[in-house]
Amino acid sequence: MKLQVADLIVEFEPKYNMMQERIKQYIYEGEKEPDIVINLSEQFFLDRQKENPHLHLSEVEAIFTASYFYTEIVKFGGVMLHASCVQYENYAYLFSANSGTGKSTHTHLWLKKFPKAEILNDDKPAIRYIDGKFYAFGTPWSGKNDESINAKTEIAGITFLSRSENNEIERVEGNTVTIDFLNQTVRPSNKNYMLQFMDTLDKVLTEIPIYRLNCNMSLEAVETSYNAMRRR
Amino acid sequence: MRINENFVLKTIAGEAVAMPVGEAVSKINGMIKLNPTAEVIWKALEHETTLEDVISTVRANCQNVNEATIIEDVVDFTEKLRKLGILEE
Repeated sequence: MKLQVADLIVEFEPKYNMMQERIKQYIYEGEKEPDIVINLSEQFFLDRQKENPHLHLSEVEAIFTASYFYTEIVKFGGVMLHASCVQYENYAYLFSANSGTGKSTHTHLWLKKFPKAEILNDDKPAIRYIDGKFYAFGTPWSGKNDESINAKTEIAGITFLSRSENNEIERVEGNTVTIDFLNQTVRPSNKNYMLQFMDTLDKVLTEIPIYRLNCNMSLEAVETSYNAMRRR
Repeated sequence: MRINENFVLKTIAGEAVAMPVGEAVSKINGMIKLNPTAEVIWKALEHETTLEDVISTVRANCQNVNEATIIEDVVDFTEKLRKLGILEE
């Protein structure tokens, strides 16, 4: 079956129920040839599950097909960022941090503060450079709760988030977050993919406004990030 | 001596960054940021070369750096790369 994900045609026939459910809003019925073919065997998933016995097979499929897709997207000027992405007023705002820091808590505070805001992807949005602009995309790979919508939204900024008692945000130079970004993405191991990945990362960190946010869990934290990041 | 072919060098946000690929990924899990002199040394080492040749390349490219510092930088940096298994004899 064909899907349209991040403006790419993806051939993928999920074997287990979780991905079968999550791909539904991405089904593509047009004639275009696939850009990416995901064809991992049942045996591959069974072997991975043996190495990770705490995971259900449907979770194994979600994890390894995500990793496959987000490696292939590199060929199309794309990259994944482990982030919670909220969209509001036609712009996408990405908040990245290690799991458990509270990126999703922060974007869900946006939903409270701005009733028209939506979660674009709560865990692994795709980022692509298309016709001179960077866009964030919802994808079928979005973490535990499947909070993702099939949408393409221009990126306002990327923020690396830390927990703190007070709220403060600072715009920073791209080169100060290179390691932070690398720690929150899929790094290709193939040489040609890596060269393309580094080109895309260079563009991301040069052209997208980057911030560091220290924040608590109050609505004031949303004012802090929104006021700094919004496009004027 | 030369840099192991499982490393790639690119400029990311204005800084030279080296990343492991292929078999090197399991050995080094990270990235290496290079300052401008280290970048010149690294590039000189991307093809089979000698310590003397690297020193002359750095001398030609970093004209505001004195001779003693150039030699010290090249020796120190190649030693570091050797210890990390990035430089092959």
